[in-house]
Amino acid sequence: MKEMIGRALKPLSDWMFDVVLGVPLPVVRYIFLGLLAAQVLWVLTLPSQRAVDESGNERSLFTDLRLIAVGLLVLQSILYIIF
Amino acid sequence: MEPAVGRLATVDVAIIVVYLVGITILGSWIGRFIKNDQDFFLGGRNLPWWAIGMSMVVSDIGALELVGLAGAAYTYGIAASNFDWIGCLPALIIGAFIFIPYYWRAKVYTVPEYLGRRYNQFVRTLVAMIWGIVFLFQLGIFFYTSAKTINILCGWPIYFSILLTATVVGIYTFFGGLSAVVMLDSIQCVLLFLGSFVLLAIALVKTGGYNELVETIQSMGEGHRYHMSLLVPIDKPTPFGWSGIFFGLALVLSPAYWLGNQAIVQRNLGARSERDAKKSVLWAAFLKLFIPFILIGPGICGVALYPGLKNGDDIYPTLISHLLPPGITGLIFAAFLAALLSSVDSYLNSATTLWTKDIYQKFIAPDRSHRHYLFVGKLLTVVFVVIGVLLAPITGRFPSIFGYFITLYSIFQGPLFAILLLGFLWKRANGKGAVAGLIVGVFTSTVLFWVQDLVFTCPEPYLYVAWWAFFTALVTTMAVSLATPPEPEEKIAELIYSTVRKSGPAKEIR
Repeated sequence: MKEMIGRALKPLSDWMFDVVLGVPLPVVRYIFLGLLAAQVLWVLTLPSQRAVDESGNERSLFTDLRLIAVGLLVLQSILYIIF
Repeated sequence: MEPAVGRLATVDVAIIVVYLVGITILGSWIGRFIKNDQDFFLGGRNLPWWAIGMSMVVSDIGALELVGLAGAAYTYGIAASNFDWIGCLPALIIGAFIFIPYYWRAKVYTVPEYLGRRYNQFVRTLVAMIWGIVFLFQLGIFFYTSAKTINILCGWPIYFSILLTATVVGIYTFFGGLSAVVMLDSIQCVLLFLGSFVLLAIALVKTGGYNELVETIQSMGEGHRYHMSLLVPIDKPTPFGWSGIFFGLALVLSPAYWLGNQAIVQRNLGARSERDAKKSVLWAAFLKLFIPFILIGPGICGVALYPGLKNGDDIYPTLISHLLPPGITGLIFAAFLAALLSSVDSYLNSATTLWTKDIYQKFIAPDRSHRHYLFVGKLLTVVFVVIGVLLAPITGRFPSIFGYFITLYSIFQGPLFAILLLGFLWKRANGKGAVAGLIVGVFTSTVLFWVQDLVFTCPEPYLYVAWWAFFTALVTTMAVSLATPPEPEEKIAELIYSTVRKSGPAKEIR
């Protein structure tokens, strides 16, 4: 049974291995950076995450949690560019 | 066998004793403020965001990770950092803005409780039983593997270390609940960062600085060609090939862990406000950026300082024993204990919460007083410490049990994340689809692990198995949900991302 399942899945596994192996490492770096960039764009589409004061007015831009999230994603992107 | 660090100096022992006695007393003192089950399980929903974030970070780093990360860096290079960077930040950002706010708004105690509201009580019970049993075994494994590591490091008898760990964690978790866990974890986080940074700084100075370190490693030949690269081709002899990291880790196992693991998520549910819950996750994400530098950095320095170790995991004790003077060794060892305790306390408290809220309160004794559930929670804390201690030596009799357990863990992580993700994002997902998805996903991962040596090219293919288990669970849940009636709109109105997003984030007035 084990042999049968293994034999059935092996060609698919080998094909996928070859496909992935064919992706050059510089492109892989763009894929990783693309994931982070896509997340930056998604965060920017979210509603404002600023704190508000007691009268309901939004506080400064620096209280916007989206800004912190984007900063973290940019920092990590830099790490993936360097290393 | 001679311990790697050797006998600790008196000053080192004094530092360790002061640390252990101090956290035990502090944790017990926090217990004075525990009046009911919400205080015990969720810190009275009054936990500060900075402490929650620090607790999240150290709960993720146990004694094994401390030694294992340095070992992985020594053997495979900085690609091990992916577990703390791409295998962490994207999931935490999604958690901060989607998952954690909805858990918090739903006022649930556990992730299975959320799934119960979103799907049905069968899904809740199934997931709670899986996590509840896994956490108990995990306690035993934590106790044993930590004691084993301490034994290798400084020769303490294994049973002494098991009982010491169980006693310290048991006392402060029993009295202080989640509040003690989170507040002490924040102290342990400072200690872990401080101790690890000192070790990194000393090791880096010994190598002659960063540029010297890189040159030395690059001159070591083809075997070290990718040692300073985060991205490694998949045909190299490493478990950290890029495709597994991207598909298995970044897209499945990492979000499954950071968004669906009760031991991690529980502390976010105890935040003072929805905004504080978000801030705690972003703070954890910030701290996580530094983990590779302080935990993986020493292992990389070890490549240049002590090349040729047969077992990469020996590099951490080697660095401690060769580089550190008395006093600093005590600090590092206290940091090591901090990592150990912070993981054990989180899983102990979460196991107690799952069994009390999802099993006991649901099936055995519903509608009892808050003080009754507090009593049960405390009782189960003692029971689970005893179970953990009893399971620990059993773990030791089976040398490969930890490996099997990691495999078991990744069998259901992917399927669980699939139903959680669809539950949040797709209002058409229903209970029948979730159960079918869980079954098919777990079946897929079980079969793939069974035939792994015939199918996969790389060693330890758990990242790929997790991906395929997630994928099949996702497709099955969608297919079955579409073929069966949807959940009533009013039942899931406050539990779906699209509906909650329209109302915008909760505002913090200050």
